[in-house]
Amino acid sequence: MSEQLAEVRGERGDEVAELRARIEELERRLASAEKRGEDERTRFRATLYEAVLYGLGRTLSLYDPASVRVLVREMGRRIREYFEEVGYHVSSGSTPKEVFENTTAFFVANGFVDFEVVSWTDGLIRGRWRHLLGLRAYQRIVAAGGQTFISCPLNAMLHDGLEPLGKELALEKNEFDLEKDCVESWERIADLEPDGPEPDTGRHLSLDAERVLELEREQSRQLRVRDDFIRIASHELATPLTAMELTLSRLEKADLPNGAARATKVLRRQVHRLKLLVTEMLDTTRLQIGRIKLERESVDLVQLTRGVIDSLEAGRQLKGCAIELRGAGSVVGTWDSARLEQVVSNLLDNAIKYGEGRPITVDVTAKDGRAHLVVRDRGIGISPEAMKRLFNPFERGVSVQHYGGLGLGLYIARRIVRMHGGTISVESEPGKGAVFDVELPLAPKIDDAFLVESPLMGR
Amino acid sequence: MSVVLLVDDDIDIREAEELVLEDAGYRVVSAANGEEALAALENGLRPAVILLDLMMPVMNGWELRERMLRDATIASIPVVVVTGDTMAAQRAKSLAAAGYLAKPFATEELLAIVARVTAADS
Repeated sequence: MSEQLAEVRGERGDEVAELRARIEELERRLASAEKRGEDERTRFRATLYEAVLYGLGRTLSLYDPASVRVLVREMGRRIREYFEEVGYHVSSGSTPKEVFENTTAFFVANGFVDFEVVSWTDGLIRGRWRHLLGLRAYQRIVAAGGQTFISCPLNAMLHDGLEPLGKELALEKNEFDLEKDCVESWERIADLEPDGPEPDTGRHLSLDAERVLELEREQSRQLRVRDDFIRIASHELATPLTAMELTLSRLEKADLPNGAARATKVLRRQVHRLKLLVTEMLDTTRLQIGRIKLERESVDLVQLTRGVIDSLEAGRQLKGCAIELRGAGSVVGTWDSARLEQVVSNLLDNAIKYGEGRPITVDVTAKDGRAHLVVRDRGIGISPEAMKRLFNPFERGVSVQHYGGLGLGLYIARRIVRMHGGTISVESEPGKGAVFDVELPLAPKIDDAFLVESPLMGR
Repeated sequence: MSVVLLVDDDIDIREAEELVLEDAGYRVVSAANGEEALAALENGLRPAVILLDLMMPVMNGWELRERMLRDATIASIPVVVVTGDTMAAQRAKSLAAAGYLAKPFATEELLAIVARVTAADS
């Protein structure tokens, strides 16, 4: 009996030991699976980082179709693997969300694309693409059917990762926001339509991406050709203009009979006009190819503004307009004085040009570490439609038949203000004049350099 | 009386600059390209400043500057780069120039920079 019992115990004991061993093994496997998940995540992050560096190594690989394709394929594969490993939940605030946020943060932090996630809720990604090609380029690309070209690498990557999961990115909104000079883009993670057109989102997208890259390349080529033309033309114009300017000033000093003296005055005004036009064209090219660097020094904005008004007066360009300078006695900041002079002079030129001879006021004040320069005219004002385009190059608030000029003044002004880390805004109603408000930080912020020299266009 | 050496292939620019500078009391020597300028310097001309255009036939401004810097007797003559291209400031820096004039410039700018450079030199 006791022998039998011992035998049973022995058998059971083996069973128990076996079970224990299995539990241990399962626990081991579970632990290793968990560890694998962790490793996978680490690996994903590492690859992401590598990919970003890879992209960076190619100086903005957005312009290199081959590297974009490689990048997109590799990122897509990694994301897909990651999703298969950890699962995917659209509305919960689980790991993938963090991963996506980290992804975009990575991209932004490393300057791969200037993308900013505004919010991420219930699978709706709201983002902004900043400082990109500008409205014209954007509109043309959209017209050609390349709606998401700007977000192409990131979007294509997301598409590639989502498609095998039966999900896709549905575009809700993709608009150029003029106020912020960025493209605002909303995209929702949605279920793939089971009966929709061919479920080949991935393929469709990569085709789209290529077409878009091609368009983009053509676009930047055309822009380069235009910029080259303007640059060469301005250069060629500058030489005869200089000779005219110098000879004329010599002539003005001579003792001329009355008729000839009047003639030199006409010449003086016309030379001045030509000079402004050529300078504008040159500046625009310089700004667009990012060649202007700020030479900051201590500048008194009040004194600078007074100087501009005085020189307008001296050059008899006020056309009977009274300009009143008000506000603080002195507002000192660290700015590029020559460039700020341009801003003030462009704003005043406009105020005179569109001010219908009525008085103009300029207020210069400082508050909370920021300077304000407010130029107010009481002239023809600006229509709401024109307001939207006002700061774009070659645009103007009114018809070219009535008012000439190249339409570059405000564009240049805004670029310069932004290079200083400031803003320029306008309030106006037709017939009620316009108020331009320039706000400038008194001292530069650390990341100003990044803002200045990151033209996605060009080289 | 300071001597200014003008190097520019555009005859009207030379003429105009000459008028302005002579009015202001400078003695002006002109050269239509780098080679003429170099010949004058090698013949012992020691201007207080050289106003140097960059794009010129025969010997351009860069070449002249390079030749000058290799010759210790003329290397230290201050040069003001005169150019209508978009990179006047950078050009001046890369050529170790004393200053630059970006076309189109006005009489006052021309006189101011010549006065500054010749004053610093003497």
